[in-house]
Amino acid sequence: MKTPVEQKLARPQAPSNPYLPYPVVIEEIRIENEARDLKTFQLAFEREEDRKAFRYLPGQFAEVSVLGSGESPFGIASSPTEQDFLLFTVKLTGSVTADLHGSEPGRRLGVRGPLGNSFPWDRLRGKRIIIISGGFAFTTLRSAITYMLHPDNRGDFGEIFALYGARSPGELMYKSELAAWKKSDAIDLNLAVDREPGEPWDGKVGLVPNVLRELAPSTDGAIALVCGPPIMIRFTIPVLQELGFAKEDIILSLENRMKCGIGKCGRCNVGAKYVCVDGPVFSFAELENLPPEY
Amino acid sequence: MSDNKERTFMDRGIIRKADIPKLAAERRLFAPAREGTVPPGTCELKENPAEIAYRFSNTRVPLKDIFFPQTETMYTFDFDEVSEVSIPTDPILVFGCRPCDTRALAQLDAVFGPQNKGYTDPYYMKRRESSIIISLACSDPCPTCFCTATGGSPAGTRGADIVAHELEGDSLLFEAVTEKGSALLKSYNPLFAEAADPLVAEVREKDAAVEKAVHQANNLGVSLGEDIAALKDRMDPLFDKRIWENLTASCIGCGACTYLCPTCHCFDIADESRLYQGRRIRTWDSCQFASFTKHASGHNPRTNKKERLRQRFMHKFSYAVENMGEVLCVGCGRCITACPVNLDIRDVIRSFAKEPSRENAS
Repeated sequence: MKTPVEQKLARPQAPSNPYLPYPVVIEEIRIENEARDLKTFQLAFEREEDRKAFRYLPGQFAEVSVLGSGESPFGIASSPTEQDFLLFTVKLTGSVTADLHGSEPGRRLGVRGPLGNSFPWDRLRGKRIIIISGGFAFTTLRSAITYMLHPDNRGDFGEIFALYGARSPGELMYKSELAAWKKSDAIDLNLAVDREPGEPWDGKVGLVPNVLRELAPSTDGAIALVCGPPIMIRFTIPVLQELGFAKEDIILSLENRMKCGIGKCGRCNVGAKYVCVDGPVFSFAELENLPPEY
Repeated sequence: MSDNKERTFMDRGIIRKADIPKLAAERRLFAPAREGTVPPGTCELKENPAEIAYRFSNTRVPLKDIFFPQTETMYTFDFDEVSEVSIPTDPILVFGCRPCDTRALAQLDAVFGPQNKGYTDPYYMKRRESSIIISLACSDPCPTCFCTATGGSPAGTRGADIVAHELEGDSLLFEAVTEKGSALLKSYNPLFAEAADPLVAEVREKDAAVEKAVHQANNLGVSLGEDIAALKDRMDPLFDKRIWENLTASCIGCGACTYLCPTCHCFDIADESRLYQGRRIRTWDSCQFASFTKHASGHNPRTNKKERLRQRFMHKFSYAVENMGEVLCVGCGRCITACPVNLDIRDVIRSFAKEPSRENAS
């Protein structure tokens, strides 16, 4: 099924009670890193109508619900082209994530969403796409890359350049996807680790902003999607600007604490914008006009 | 958005105070009462009170509590099975809340209703849709009332279906603001006597006098009714300036201001369970608490009380203007009387209304 990019993100028909989660079941759990604090949960909808109702685009997020522990927002790591399941990569941090990490396949959870805007797909069409990511913020970019590389969509985009860095080779997530993309001509994938690893490594060595400066992808007809920890973002934006990216063409995804996800509970605002409904995706031009409360 | 000039009424009539409960024959009646309130002597909106209180400045807890209770169950669960709870839809009749609170309710409608990004909050809206609100115009405002500075008025109509005025003797003038209010007057027609023009004119004169008194007592140097962005324009450029440190120095972060604010609507969602059975609840929350914005990673976008109190005032006077086209403060003064350290929202407004000193603006 083609998911045309021009199809404006239908802010889906809001369910009559947007606080009720769709029932889902854990199909598979993958440990993503050596530290074993990142796990990807593959979830399947229990009801076919829910699966159909859950129409999303890369860059959106959802609230994953563990009854008894609570719910937490996570970027959707799967792509709408992967129609049979949802993927969420979860870092072990607090009580909801601890409960999730202790789960076995077969456990029933809830999912609320899709929530938030997405990457600006109507603007990205026809452009060269520069993807820059560090650490485990790569999740929604996995979604974006998978989406763009789908044969139905690949022709809608120019060259795809990706730089993905982690502390060490063992901290890079989605190993099988990375291996496939490495071999593919459809994407120029560059992997980096922060410092010289004590193991064989054929990627780059250095912090993401430095490697980016070295690789210097052309800005010609390009838009950059950047997801990473705040410190990486802070040092990457000046490099992108040095390379010649306009502020509008640097696209970032924010995180803030959220509860309702639908712009009512009031905690995720950055200035007059709510990350949950006006974001999480903003351009650097937009963010520059907001207070730095994220 | 000024409430002062919008007084067109669809219907009117005079009703005896003793007949008020009759209006709620098919409804849950909430009205101000003094029985059992804490601290004693305060007034609260209570369900079916034995005696409706009249001589009070305002209820301690705002009207929002009826439609957006401090704690409510969103759904229950047993192990991994969710059960919806039935959202109470019994029609509600509120009598005797103040016009500032009805105005705040209209603002909450805009937050919880579908006009806010297409999402309807069913818990709030189901209660709200079938409700009728009869406000009681203020005759004796308290020293902390400053509704006129925010664009309201002691006899404002916004958010009310009917505005009531106390008359001499034991009767009330009812004036219908909405279709709903008008329909109520019609369906209980036998309870109402005709209100003659001179009497209504007299009520208007008293209204004007009360309004003038509030304005004179609390002229804060801005008229947000006429120029809603008057404070926003002053506040935005001073976001990271020292003025905020001075204004927020005494705050102890207790959050009383937000809990008692009729427009504050932030909430938390949490699970309560025993073994595998439990409920997902929502409770009022406050931007004054550090945990409100704290990320799971430990990072906190608003780390100190200055940033948190600034958020409260920026939300009310700047962000809401941008998002909703109005200020989210109705001048009820509850945050002033509830504050344990005498932090006064009027001082904040005044500080921005006048040219901030060079020291404050640096």
